Amino acid sequence: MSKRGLVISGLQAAVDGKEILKGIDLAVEPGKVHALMGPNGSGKSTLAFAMSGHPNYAVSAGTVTLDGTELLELSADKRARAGLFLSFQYPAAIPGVSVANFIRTARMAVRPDDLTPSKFRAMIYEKLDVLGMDPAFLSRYVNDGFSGGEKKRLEMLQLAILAPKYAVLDETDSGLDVDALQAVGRSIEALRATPEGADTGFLIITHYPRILRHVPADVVHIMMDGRIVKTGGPDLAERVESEGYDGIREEVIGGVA
Amino acid sequence: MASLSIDAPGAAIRRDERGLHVALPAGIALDEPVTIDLDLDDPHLDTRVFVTAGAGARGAIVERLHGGAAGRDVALTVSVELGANADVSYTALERTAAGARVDAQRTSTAGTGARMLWNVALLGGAASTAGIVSTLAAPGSSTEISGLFFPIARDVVQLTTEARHDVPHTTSQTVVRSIAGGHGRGRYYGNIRIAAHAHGSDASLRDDTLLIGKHAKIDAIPALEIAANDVKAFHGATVGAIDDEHIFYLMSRGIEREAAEKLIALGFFEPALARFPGEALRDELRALLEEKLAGARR
Repeated sequence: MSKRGLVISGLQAAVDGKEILKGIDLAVEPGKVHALMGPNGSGKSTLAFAMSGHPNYAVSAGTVTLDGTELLELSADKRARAGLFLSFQYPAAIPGVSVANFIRTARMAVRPDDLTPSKFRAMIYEKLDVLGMDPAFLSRYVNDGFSGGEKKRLEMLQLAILAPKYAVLDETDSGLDVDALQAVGRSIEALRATPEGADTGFLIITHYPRILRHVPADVVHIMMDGRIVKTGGPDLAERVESEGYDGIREEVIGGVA
Repeated sequence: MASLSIDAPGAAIRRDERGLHVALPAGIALDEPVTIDLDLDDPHLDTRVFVTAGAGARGAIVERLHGGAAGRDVALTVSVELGANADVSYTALERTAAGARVDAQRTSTAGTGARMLWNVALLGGAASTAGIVSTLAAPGSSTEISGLFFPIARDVVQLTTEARHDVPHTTSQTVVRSIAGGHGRGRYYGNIRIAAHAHGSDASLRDDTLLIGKHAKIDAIPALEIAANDVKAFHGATVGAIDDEHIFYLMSRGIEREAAEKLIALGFFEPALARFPGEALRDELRALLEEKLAGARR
């Protein structure tokens, strides 16, 4: 069996000594889109941060492998260079560092020496255009004074430029208006249409099915209280919308009893 | 003789027993900055510099202070007089040798509607004390003061800035950014003085400090002396280490920790650095700060 995929096995993790993840098993295959849905506080963002190597998240058991590479032993930068990307729900503002400088530095870290400066410039302009972003964006400081929508667009610009093997999008759709959501959807689909991004596997963390209308999911997982309680096809997301999480919660509790 | 590069047609420069005189005639607009090169190793070093700008004169002056064997101890004064509606920037770039001790006091007086821009970068020397006093002496005058310093090793740096609003309807804006690394010590006195009758004054003072390593220290001591009513005065300050969330964000994009810290630290200076004139000078400063940062880690 191939080792390819972002494979999470038996992952347990705690924040400030409180156990949040209670054994997560989930595998995202190359080129596939998985949605991870669940109510507030179910541990979705904790999963994203634990995978990415945030120092405040202590993994107590389990493994995460990326195409066979064990990620949990690596620092956050090495995980990114292995091919993992996390789109932050609340990305940090870094005054004094321009978007252009940041993205160029990141691209060179993740994909060293693969683009001439002129090709890089052409690439970044193309991606900006897909996202409906003004090139003046490039000279602004990273997330400094950005609106919520601008921050999410910048996350998507980074995703498009870095073209990771696997991307975890932590509530990229939250707080976006219709236009911004469409731009995000367009950008992701544009990436998937390129040779670099055709094999990118996605784990889209969201409360709402609406982003999945722009980026259709192959598999939908429902997370509650630190566990994946149900996995299904795209119809599962529609069920969440019509029934809320209560129906699924009752079904799961009923199934256990 | 002190070397003096004068690529500024139109500026009158002379030297007498009092010191070095730079005069910008009324109405002139200099295309190129006047560079004043002050080498501490020069036995004929000019330690007193007088700049006068006539009415409506516009120009930039860049002072480069460098050299200085161990034990060299120099006191320098600079004064700038601005006539009505003159617009002058004076940039002091101090990068004296590791053992040198310098005390530089720079002052300006702005006439009606005049604008004085002070930029000072203290990037050298075992001990550097610098003071800027920018006096707004006539209505409608304004000043911007930008400062940055970066003590590393066992450097000791002290910067004092003072925006003096002596008359009504004057504006000042002060931005200072500093980082200390190694056993570097810094002290910043940021002063705003608004005289009793100087109504309608608008003053702001912003100073931010970043400490790299456990042994570095910078004290920032603001003093707002406001004797008038009906003024706007703002002061904001931060002191801290590099934010772990910032480091994590950059690392999550594949950037190594050391490179992430470098991006953040150099970026930290930008709000002050961006106010220095000319892209070439700003790039030179960025390179010097990068050298300092490498030194701070040793």
